[in-house]
Amino acid sequence: MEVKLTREEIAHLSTTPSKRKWYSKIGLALFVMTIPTVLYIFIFHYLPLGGLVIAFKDYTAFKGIFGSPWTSMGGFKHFYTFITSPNFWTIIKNTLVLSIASIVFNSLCPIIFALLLNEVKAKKYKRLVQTIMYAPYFISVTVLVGMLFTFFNGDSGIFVRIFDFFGFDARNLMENPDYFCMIYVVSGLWQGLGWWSIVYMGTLANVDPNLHDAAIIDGAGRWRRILYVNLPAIIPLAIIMFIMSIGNILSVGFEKVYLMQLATNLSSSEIIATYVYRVSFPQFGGIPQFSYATAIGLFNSLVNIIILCGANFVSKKVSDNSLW
Amino acid sequence: MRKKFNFAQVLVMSLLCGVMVGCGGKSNYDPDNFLQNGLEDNPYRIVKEPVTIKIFAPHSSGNPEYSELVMFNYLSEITGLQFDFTTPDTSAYTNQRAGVWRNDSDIPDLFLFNNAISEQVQYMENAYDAYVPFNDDNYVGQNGLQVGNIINNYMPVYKEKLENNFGLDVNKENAKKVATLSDGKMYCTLSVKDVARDLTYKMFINDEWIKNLNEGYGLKLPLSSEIKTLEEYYTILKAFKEYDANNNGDPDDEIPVSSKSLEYLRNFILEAYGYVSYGIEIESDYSSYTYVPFTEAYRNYLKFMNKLWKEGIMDKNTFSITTDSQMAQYGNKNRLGSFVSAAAYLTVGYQNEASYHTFGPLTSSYYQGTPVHLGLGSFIPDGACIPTKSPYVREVARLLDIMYSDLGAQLVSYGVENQNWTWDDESHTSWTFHVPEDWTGNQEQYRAKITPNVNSGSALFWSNDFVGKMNDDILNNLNEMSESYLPYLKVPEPAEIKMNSSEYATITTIKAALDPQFEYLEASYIRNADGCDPYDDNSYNSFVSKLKGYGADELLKCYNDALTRYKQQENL
Amino acid sequence: MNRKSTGSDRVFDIFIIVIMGIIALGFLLPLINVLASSFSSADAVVAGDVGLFPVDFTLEGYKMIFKESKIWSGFKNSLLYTVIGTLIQVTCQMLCAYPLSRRDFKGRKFVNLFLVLTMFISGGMIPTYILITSLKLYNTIWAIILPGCISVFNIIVIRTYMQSSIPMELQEAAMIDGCGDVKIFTRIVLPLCRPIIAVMILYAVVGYWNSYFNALMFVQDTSLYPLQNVLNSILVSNESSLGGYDVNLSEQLKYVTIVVSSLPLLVIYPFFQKYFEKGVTIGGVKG
Repeated sequence: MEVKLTREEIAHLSTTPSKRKWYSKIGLALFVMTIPTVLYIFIFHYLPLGGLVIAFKDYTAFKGIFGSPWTSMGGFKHFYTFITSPNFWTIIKNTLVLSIASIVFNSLCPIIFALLLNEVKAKKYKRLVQTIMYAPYFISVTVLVGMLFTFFNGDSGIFVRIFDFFGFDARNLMENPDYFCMIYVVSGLWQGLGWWSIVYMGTLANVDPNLHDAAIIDGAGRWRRILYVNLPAIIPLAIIMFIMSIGNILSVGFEKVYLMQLATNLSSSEIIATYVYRVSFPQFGGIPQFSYATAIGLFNSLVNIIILCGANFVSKKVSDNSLW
Repeated sequence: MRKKFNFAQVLVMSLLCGVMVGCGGKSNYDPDNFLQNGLEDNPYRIVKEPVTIKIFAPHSSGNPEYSELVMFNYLSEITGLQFDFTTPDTSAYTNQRAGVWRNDSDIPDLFLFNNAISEQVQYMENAYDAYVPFNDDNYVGQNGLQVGNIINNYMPVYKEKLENNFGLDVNKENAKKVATLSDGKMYCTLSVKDVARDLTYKMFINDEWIKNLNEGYGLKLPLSSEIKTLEEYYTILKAFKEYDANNNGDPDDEIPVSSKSLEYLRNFILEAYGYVSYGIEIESDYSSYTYVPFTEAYRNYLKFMNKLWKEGIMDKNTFSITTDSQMAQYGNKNRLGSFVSAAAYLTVGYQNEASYHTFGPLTSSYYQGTPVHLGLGSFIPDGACIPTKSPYVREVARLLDIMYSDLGAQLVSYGVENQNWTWDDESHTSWTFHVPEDWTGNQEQYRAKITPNVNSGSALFWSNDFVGKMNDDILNNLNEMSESYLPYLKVPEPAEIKMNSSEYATITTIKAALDPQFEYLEASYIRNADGCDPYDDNSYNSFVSKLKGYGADELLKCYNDALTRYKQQENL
Repeated sequence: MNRKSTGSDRVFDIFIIVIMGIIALGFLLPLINVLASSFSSADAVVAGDVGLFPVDFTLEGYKMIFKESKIWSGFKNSLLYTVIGTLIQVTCQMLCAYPLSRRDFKGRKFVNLFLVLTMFISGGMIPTYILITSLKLYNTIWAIILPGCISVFNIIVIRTYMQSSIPMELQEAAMIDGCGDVKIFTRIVLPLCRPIIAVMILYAVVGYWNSYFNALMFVQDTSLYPLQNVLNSILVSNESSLGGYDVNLSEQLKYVTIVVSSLPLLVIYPFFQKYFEKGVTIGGVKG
């Protein structure tokens, strides 16, 4: 393509005097390149952050964000209410369980899948598999949960019949709080596995073939090449992805959990997000607690950010990969 | 350093951009354009020259835009008002509504439907002067206009209907009290519904099955119209379970009773023990509120449900069923004996619909007083609010008055006379709705082109006097069945008794944690999960103490405080 | 490259093919169920009778969907938003990711932190709504395209890719040669970034095609609605409670909706896949 430099040429070039312009030296162009994004982020992400101030206020729509009165306890009333609420530890625990299980499986499985799929030589077969795996991503959560209910239906569900074959009673498994997390994670993997592996496939495609050749010369078999050539190539990306998901540890999505909730599994399915939903959209007669909901959100964010910083710090020390 | 400055400048600039945009001008209001009494040939005319009224209202996705609806176009035509709609999707409604107060130019002239009472109370307490009071004799508009008492001056129809309580029993529900806040003012008009089928839930049972059992097995089970007690009902369910009630040769495929996620069945069984709500409920004599799960009646209900579950009478899938169509899966196959639903055909399809009849409300050996049944209330103070910033207070008031008239009730339900529907006879005893021949969708989809009522159920006046006369077998049948419940309806939290805003906030927070905990525990005690057993005293005590830990007592206190205030006000 | 295949290699190949086949099959079955449901009668869908083959084959659901004239305007809108949005998104992300991948970029730490923080904290719905109305974007196509357009997550993925897959010596060499940053970016970095660009385009296309929330929140003119919102409104209008003559139909429509809305994406996917594989031959520093 464009660049065909040999080592000699590079060596030669390095001896020629610098011809770079002054603005290039200080990296002006680089700054300019970031401007559209920085501007965008500022407008669409930082300006609305002012809204967080309502976590410390008793927000009323009429007075707006800045006109509403500060709440008691020096503005921390809502935080206090949340931390002392009777279900605080339950929902934190449930959220963490779902979150950690998701993070572990959603981080590892796509990597393993991508590494294995990359070894498939038959191109058409590979494409077919990939297309199939990526398709469930488009199934809406509503339908996914609907399918789960149908499949686990007490009388006729397909899964019930299949599990019955293996001697396991899966009737109305959706009701069982002990299996909630597993169903949540596995159905999530079904939807996302192919999709999440795409970014790794992209990276694997770019692994320098010379490295493989060198490894072959050294007598490395397939397994060893996967482990010592391909895996290291995607590790930086994998670590970044992992850190980022760690940084969202308390932000388990609302919709799917809410749809999967049943009276019988609430002991493990009531999470922060569903609690916030109940507070923001009370069933009858209640005032939507915007301030309280925001306070919970802010609490989440702070915990997330602390954990994120910790994870980033560790990663930086250990592997030299970091978010910033 | 230089670059840093560039950055800072950019940031500041964009900040300014964000802050500065959005200042609208005020339109000039001409007070003489208003016609208080209409025109001679058109009493509905409100203005001489057309003016534009901004209306903010929730919109159900799937419905046509408000500007295309027959109802609003007709209103626009006869009144001379033009409408400018802001109609956020229902799921975006709360957020968008919270956003409009920031700019005067965004504030509408009318908030139609969904005006939460809690918000009105909050604004009233803080004296925000956000909404125009409808009954303040000395009200002066923000543009200096002497408006006075809006209901007296501009809303004769609404006034008259309020005076005679919309024709309903004033001792059961009092429209004026529902509409009035603690400062004696009304900031919102009422949503009025008096069509029987919309006021309650209905419990159905399969009469054909009962007949089959009586004939085939010589049982003497009462038919739906004769079932009076829970014990009788239980005997029937038991028989459904034991015998081949649907005569298909399989004695085990009958599901005696099922329900959408327990909620509806709960209402129905619990009422046989004297309560209609699973949460807070007022005692019939208004002496106090009760937290129902703490009552002995509730424990008896739990025991009964536990029995239904253990004996396999209640559908084992009850707790997994969350939609009507999931129940229809059995209903369509004639496998359901009894269920709660808005209408039988939703659950069992048209082919089986005729076998099912409503019954109840029941009593039991525990409770032998007057039967009670959960009512949803005819008056809800969430109809229409006029922001004080609007110059068109009088015009909007006239418009609202028309919407409460017979014409308005017709428009919001089935549209324009002789265009969408016609009277069947001279004496106006019934009328027929016309769906064009070439319309390919169903009737409701056609009605969605006429009124915002479809899907949302919103209406200022959903009048039995008109809707009840519709010439439609299914709906009439439904109405008739529903009417049997009407004498027994009890609204657990009467709309007349209002909290103050800090109580509203407290109950929202408590309920967000308490309700799920209650539902979980209830389900556990019915299913004997985790060793929960309603018959065992220790186990049951832990039920009560857990709920107490979730703030049930504080919740009850909020309600009783409100009740005390209400009583004081009444006596003074 | 000619790699000699040994016996153990062949065993390995077969092993992989079989494993992948099993996984793919497991993933496929529920999908077939969706497809079969979309062609089955509404009653059969509700009754849970549909397995891998349509029951009471019917095109009713598809007829119902395509009868709506709004569908076509939804398709057109979605296409427009997807093209414009993807263009803006991918361009901005690439532009921003490159400086961040350069360790000699002076504002790197600051910009990085500035971006990353926004991933974990947000102001909430009401402030965003107020922002959209203040910027006069309400009810315009920009209210659909701009919110959520640039993803910090993607920028970081691109940045990491650039750091790990584009040799720094190459850029340094070019610098010494007198190449400006812009030139390095366009001539060296971008061509080497093809696989990640393909991934990002795919992400963006899918994101915009499936986007739903922005239109719901910030647009009320239904003629601006993208496909997802149109489909949803068809679903909802068949779901109403009292007028619910068609509750069953709406259950079936859910499946039809999935097929209709995701088909275009499934069709373009293989097109992008090619780029992931071609990346090998296009990029790479030949020594």
